[in-house]
Amino acid sequence: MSYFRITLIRSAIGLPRRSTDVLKALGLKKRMATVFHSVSPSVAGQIMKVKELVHVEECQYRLTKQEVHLERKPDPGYYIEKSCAEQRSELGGQ
Amino acid sequence: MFKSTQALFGGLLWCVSGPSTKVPIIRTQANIPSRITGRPRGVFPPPQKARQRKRLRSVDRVVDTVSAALERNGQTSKAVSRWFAEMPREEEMLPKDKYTLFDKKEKSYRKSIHKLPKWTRVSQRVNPPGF
Repeated sequence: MSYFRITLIRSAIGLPRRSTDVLKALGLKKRMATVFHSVSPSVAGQIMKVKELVHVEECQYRLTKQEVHLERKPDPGYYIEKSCAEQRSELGGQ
Repeated sequence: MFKSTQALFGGLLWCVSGPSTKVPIIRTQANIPSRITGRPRGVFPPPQKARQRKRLRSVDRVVDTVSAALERNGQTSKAVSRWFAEMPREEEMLPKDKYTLFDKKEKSYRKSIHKLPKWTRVSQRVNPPGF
């Protein structure tokens, strides 16, 4: 079972009503929004209606909204060697 | 003194609320540049045409992805097969078809693609039969 990962790159403002409706049906409400749909002819037809506006990839797993967001999260620039709780337990043990 | 004559407006619609806010709000059909490349021509190739090719390729890529995914699942779609049957790919297209389109009202029967409304978000690849 594979999925289409569809990202809205260009807005449908000013385009025929039908383009907006197709995007709504796909669940794309704003630019750079990402949705996952299982591969099927009906979804393929919907993508073909808005092919100029979207970026499509095929993937094996459906990601949640949080997981998609975390993909874009930048590297914090540090890593945690030891948490406070660990340090405290070590001190308590001495 | 700025006089709001037809010639000075040049077909543009202006904000008429005050002299400081005289900015064009709508680019009318009359004010689309006649050429996509612009004049005078610089030493570098015009980026508008490069972006047009990029958009054509991105549509090709979307259709290829959808088609490959369906094929892997043993399915077909009418819209996809019709696209492959009727539409040329970006590399197969002539420059004439990439940057111009048929127009019966033009003297040469061709006009620049940027005159097509919403031209960056619509697919315009083929000519009417015989043109």
